[in-house]
Amino acid sequence: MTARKLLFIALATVFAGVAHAGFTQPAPVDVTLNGDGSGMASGDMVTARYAENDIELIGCGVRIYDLGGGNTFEWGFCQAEDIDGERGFCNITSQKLIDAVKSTNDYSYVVFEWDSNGECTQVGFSTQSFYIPEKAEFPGGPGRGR
Amino acid sequence: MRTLLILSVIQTLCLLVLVFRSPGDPGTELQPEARTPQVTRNAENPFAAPAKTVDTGSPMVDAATLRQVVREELRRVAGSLESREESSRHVVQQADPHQRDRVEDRIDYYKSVGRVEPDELNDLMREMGKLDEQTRRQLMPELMRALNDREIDGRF
Repeated sequence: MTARKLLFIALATVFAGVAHAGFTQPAPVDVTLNGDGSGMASGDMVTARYAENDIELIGCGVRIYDLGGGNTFEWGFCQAEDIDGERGFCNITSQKLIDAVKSTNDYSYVVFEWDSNGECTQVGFSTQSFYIPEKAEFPGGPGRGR
Repeated sequence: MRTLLILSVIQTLCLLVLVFRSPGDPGTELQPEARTPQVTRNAENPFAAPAKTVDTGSPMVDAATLRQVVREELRRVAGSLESREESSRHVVQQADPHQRDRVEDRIDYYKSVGRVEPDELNDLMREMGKLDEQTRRQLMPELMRALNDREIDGRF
């Protein structure tokens, strides 16, 4: 009886953990460089941030400069580095792409492409639950306090 | 901003025309019959207050004249806005002629040391912003290629 109870408790503990897990799909950073200088990079920001190395990074940003005299300069960029040390940078001048960068989220999956001049030709973001890590995987990470 | 300016000009014009057009102006005066107050009474209830239209003395404005005035004023406002935009573009395009050299020198410097700090890169982009668009399109690829080829080690 005691053994059966213990077995039941053990099984309940296992299944309870699985029931609260949810689907996850981490996407490590991957950078592809072409011979002509163009390339592509992708990855989700949380996986990059909590990777077990100090190399991986991915993200995009916008800078707005006040040049004085009523003139401003708005500019966007994306950058990434994968575990192999391959890097990708591109600059964004298209206003629509800049607006897309402004909509990025903490848990976004990021993908961007650039041409041989280093100009971003595609910028994409995806905010999905499966990019958010489980609480146990990243102590002190996004799950803290929940 | 431009739309608000045009609307305020139109509003001001309409007010001015209504205020300064005199009642004796032959181009705008109503026919005498139309200016007679119209009084009607309710036949069923003689004690009901009469419904009447009262001529306030306000002059009617010829619609064609008003349209012409508005068109002329819009043309004038549009012209002044365009010249203001041109002058601001002119200011950016005629930025410091040595600005291109300064930006190129900085890129060459970072290539020589092989490294750039994030705040230096940020400042370099500010300087890029002072260039005219054509020059910026020429120099930006040089910087991006240097970063991608690891000729310059740095991050934004």
